[in-house]
Amino acid sequence: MIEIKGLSKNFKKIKALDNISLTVNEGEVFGFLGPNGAGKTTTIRILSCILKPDAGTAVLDNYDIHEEPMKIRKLIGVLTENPCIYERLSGRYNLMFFGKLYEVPEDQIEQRVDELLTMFDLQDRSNDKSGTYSKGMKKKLAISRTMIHNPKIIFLDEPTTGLDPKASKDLRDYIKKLSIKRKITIFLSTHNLTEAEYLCDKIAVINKGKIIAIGRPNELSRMLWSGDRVEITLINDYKDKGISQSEIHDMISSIDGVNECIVNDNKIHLSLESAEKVNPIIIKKLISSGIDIVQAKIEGHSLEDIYLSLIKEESDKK
Amino acid sequence: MKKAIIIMKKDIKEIRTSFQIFGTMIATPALLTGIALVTFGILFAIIPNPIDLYSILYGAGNILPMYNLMFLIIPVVLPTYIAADSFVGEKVRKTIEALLVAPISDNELLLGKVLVSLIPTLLFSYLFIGVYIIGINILQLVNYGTIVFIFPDLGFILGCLLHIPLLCIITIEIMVIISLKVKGIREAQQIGGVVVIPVISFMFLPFAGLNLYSLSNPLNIFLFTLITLIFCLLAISFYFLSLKVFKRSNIIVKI
Repeated sequence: MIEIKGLSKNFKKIKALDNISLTVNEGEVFGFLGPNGAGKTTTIRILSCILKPDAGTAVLDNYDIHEEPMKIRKLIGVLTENPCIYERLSGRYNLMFFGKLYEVPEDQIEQRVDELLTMFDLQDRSNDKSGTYSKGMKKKLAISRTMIHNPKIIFLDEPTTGLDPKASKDLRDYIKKLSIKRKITIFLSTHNLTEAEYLCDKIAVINKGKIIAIGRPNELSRMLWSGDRVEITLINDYKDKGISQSEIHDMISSIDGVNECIVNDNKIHLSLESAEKVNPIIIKKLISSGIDIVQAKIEGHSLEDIYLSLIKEESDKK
Repeated sequence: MKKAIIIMKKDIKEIRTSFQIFGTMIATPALLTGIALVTFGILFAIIPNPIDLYSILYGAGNILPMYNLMFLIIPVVLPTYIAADSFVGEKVRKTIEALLVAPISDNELLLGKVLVSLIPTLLFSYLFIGVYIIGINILQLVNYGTIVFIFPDLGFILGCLLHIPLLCIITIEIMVIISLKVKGIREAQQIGGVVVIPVISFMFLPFAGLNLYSLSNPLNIFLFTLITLIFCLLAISFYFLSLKVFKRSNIIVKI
């Protein structure tokens, strides 16, 4: 659905984008993560055909950004970081205006506007000036504007910035629903990792204009850390049985496939080559030594771990 | 063209909700018309003999030509207010990006923004010039019981038809260029206000004996033609310049 090939963009001496390439499949929620000034908004602006790249190209639904910008604009919806709504005009007028610009058929436009206003709980205030709306309502109106023409691709630039937790959750749920029910391709630019973790099928991490990693969160995790992390919780009576922490440590460390072992009271933190293969051996050995186990759980890496490691790794390189 | 009109209608609706802009749009021409009519009302009252009227108005003082030229300020002042709100206002209020991502060409967008300044300006200019014309004739009728001289003359009619739209277009084009360079509405209005200065200088032409809208002698006809040609040339030059600078990529990097 979106194919970016070697995009580069400079603003005077600043390299905003440095030869980035990526592919987003139809119906996918693609997370574009990066710190402020990484090049996320520049990428969205190039894909929305309002900024021209210095090199490279992108194809959206078979239309090239250089050759058919108007066709691309018709098939995309862009939620910019600012709501971009006309505050002196009513919410309804805002949607009618954009509906006309996006060539929604005259006989359908009012129905579509009503549908969106109802969907986002804005119907009661639809004739009030949108400047009187709360931040959450303005954001909802901005999303309605983005959706007015039923776009195939939606670009969301920091969609929950400035929203309270409840409004952020509602918005995230709505985005999730859009991708699941309507199969809309969503390109989500954010530095909110919780949001990305909840919504995205695939993520790309961009820093200083360069893509430093791309893939599904578990793929990125494997790329950064070999093996699995496991935490085993013991019943805390092993000391009464004459077993010390160092004995447990030595017993586990001697097993093949254990990279690291830390014993801390009743918790054992392990780094294993493969949890699937090594964990059953460890558990058997502990039980046969008379140590009772409460639970053993494989600890995944959160997106936050992945993101911070990638950014750190990148700055260490420099 | 259809999308340019959609944008124009939206902008006009926005302007109507702003007392500051809409008020200025009415107050400026109303004030000029009011000053002119009060001046002529007093003048007619203190000139008892209608025979002297024509020579006083067009003679040594050249009062009427000077007031006629004063109306050229309207098509210069109004677009600076409207265009500043329409172009720079979109940047200041951070609404421009939603327009830029919409399926509308640069030219349609520019045309929509030009129309929103052009149409109300022409409407208000001609409306108040109409009031001025009717007012002068009514004042003559009230004071002398008859219309002593028929106002307006051919020169003023031609001036209104040619110079008002041209000056309005030139000002809008200049405002388009200014809007890409500045970040605030007030800044745009202040820079745009400089355009008024050369127009005000026209008002002093009658003192030098050059009566732009009196087409009775060859020198004035030459002057009228020359100024019209200069206005045309400026309108065309600024048109191409504004088309060249009014590009999405130029606008977006200036936000």
